[in-house]
Amino acid sequence: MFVWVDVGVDVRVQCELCPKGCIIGPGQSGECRVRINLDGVLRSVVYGYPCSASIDPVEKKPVFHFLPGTPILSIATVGCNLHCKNCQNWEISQANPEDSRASACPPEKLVALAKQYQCPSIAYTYTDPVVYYEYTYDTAKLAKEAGIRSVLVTAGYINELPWRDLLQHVAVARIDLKSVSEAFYRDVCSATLKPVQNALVVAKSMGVHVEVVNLVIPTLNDKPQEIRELVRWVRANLGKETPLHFSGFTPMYKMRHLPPTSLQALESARDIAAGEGLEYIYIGNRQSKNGENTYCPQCKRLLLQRVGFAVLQNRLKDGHCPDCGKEIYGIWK
Amino acid sequence: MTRRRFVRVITGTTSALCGGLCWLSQRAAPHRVVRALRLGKYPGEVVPMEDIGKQSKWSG
Repeated sequence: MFVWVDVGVDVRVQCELCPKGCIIGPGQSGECRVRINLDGVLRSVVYGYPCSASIDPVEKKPVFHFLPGTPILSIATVGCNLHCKNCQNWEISQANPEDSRASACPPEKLVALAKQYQCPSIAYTYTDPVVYYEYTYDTAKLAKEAGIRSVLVTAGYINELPWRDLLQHVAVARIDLKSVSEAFYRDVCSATLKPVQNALVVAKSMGVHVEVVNLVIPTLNDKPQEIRELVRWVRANLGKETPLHFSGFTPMYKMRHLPPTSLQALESARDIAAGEGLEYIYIGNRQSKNGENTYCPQCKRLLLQRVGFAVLQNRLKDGHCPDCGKEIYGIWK
Repeated sequence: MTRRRFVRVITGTTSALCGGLCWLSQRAAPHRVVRALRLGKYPGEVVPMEDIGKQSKWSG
């Protein structure tokens, strides 16, 4: 009898957006906290309500091979489908929408703001655009029609079909590859590795410009063998031209007990990647000599000089090296 | 009860049970959804948009 009543009244929903596949009971939300089941209908509570909207340099994402030196309208809503213990933005990514502030900004307004502030692109960033998928999708579609490109800054934890749908309207996917260890994804991020690798491969195969970020965390994923494995995976599956950013960890959230990543560790990761034949390797979150510059992989001359988020020099000629003529991977105009 | 009537009753009951179980399992299985509909009303505090011209404090 109880079973009968339960089944008759409760209408559960399974969210198939991301590999977590949350089965959500009435009035409940998925793990991301922002997709809820109301009367048997899955609703996005953050659609049109960003908790942050700012104009950043595109280098801050970091995206180095896409319209260097341009401003990018960057937005986020609260919520995330991962729960990384080292999250730098945990105050918004792990927040409940009912406890947080947001501003009303529908897709049309975002596109209008990008035009008003002369931003050639919009970034869906800070938390993860996967959890505000519908908002991202509608904005990216509208932006594309208005000649504004979309940049996803994501952990890439999404099912293939919705990912393919979204990528049709996107120019750049800046995806974290946090490790190539299943144990790392399970223990640190409460996620799995394979869907992320699949998202990277699918984005690249669809002709979307891809850049990869690996946050190097002392003792957790900084072993040379692990870095080498990650680099080899990138080279074999995404190509040697794919930019790889090694980023420095800062003690944060549930990982305050670990030390920050040293510059030496990042330089050592860069040397491993260079030894494995990757063409564009960068160091982020630490001041390093030449770690943010782009060099021609053929003649080794300087192409783009960067300090922090500023581009000091851009010698590219129509996306080619001015000295040897090699075409440089990226979107340059 | 004749043997024929007995078989008819058993068959009818079994089919009714099977049909019920199918219906029940269908009802019990969650609806599979990818796209969510918008809620329309934000559950938290809605505030005016701040100056978007300045760089964000968030990483990424």
